[in-house]
Amino acid sequence: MLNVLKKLFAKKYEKPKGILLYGSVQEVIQTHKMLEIQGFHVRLVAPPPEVRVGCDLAVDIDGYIMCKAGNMKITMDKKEHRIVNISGGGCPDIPYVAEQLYNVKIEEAKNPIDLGNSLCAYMLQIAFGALKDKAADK
Amino acid sequence: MIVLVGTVPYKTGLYIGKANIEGKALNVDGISFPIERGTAVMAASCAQVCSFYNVEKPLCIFGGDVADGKGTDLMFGEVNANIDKYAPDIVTLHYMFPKIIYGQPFIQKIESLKKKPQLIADAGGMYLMKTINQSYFFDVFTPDAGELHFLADEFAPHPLYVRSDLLNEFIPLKSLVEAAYKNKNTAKATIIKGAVDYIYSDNVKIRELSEPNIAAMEAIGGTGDTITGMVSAFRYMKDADAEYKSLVINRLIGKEIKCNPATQIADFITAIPKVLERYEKKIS
Repeated sequence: MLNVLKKLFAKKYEKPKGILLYGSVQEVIQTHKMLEIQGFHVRLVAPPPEVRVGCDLAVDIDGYIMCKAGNMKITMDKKEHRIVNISGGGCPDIPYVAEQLYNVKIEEAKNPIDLGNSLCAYMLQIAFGALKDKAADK
Repeated sequence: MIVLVGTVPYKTGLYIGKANIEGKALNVDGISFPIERGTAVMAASCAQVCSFYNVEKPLCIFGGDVADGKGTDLMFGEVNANIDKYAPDIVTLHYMFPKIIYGQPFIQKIESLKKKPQLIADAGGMYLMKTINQSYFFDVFTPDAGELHFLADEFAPHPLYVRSDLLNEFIPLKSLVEAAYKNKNTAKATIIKGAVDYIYSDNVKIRELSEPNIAAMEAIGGTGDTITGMVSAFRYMKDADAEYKSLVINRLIGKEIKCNPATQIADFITAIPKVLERYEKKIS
């Protein structure tokens, strides 16, 4: 309840004030949770291309873009940016998350970590972030 | 009998029954599960192969799990208490929350059976067995390239936790396989799914396969699940080429249906009998 109130009354920023970079996903998860508890507005995003370590790759296939992060892959069509497939993972929330994201424009899609709660959902979030950057042509 | 164990994104419950294909759905225990991804895809592909060769259909033990882990609890509650009642020849573990508490009791239950069934694992089932150091108790693992990094990392309890040096450097697949076998963190046979598929047995490469090359298949959710399901069926039929046959049939399906990255996996399942028929005619 306290966390909900903190979030509700937290100062809202129009633009991100900064980006935190970590060497491992475990640190990202811990920090993400900690900052949320403290009432900060935080969003998990893919790291800038120059500091990526090879776990989030984008591949062009016949009019579609697929982004990979570890065991997770997410694909959208280049024209409309609709999510057409999600592949990989072994945790039971992934089929549910995939169902929610299928055929949704990536700009309008909910974050996988808001839909699922497993480690696979976190990996999917990283791939999702990279794909969203691609959609914005970053 | 083939026993397929995994969670499905359905209301909390335990669903036990033979796998029956009904159009683009899988009927188990009177419930129609959409064949979209995960355990239902694995079971549907296994059922299609069994149906084509007219062998006994697989029995499914599904946990309806809405991402809260309760379905995983129910599923292992049944498997770890009663799997002997199903007289399994093959047990395949698939999507689930890899809860460590269920791992060792599962191994003990299998060890208590008069005859050890062949054990196959993918997805959460594979993560669980690797985490409790029981990978080599299994006969087949079916990782993709990302999951191979996880098997190669002796400490990682999930693909999320693979240490960065394994991802940073360009490490040949052979070295990753060696690392996995060295620490007994993979099964006796390992099928590595990807642009090139590899079959390893006890750290020896048995075969690799890259044709037909269908790049779109990597993007399609479920194209790895179909392999796990087909391997379960072919192994049950004591097919000496079970792994290779599953991989080649999977690729031939992609070619047959002219798949693209937006193709849905149910189209693969539907095409299995047709592709099997052609394949059998060609090799006979």
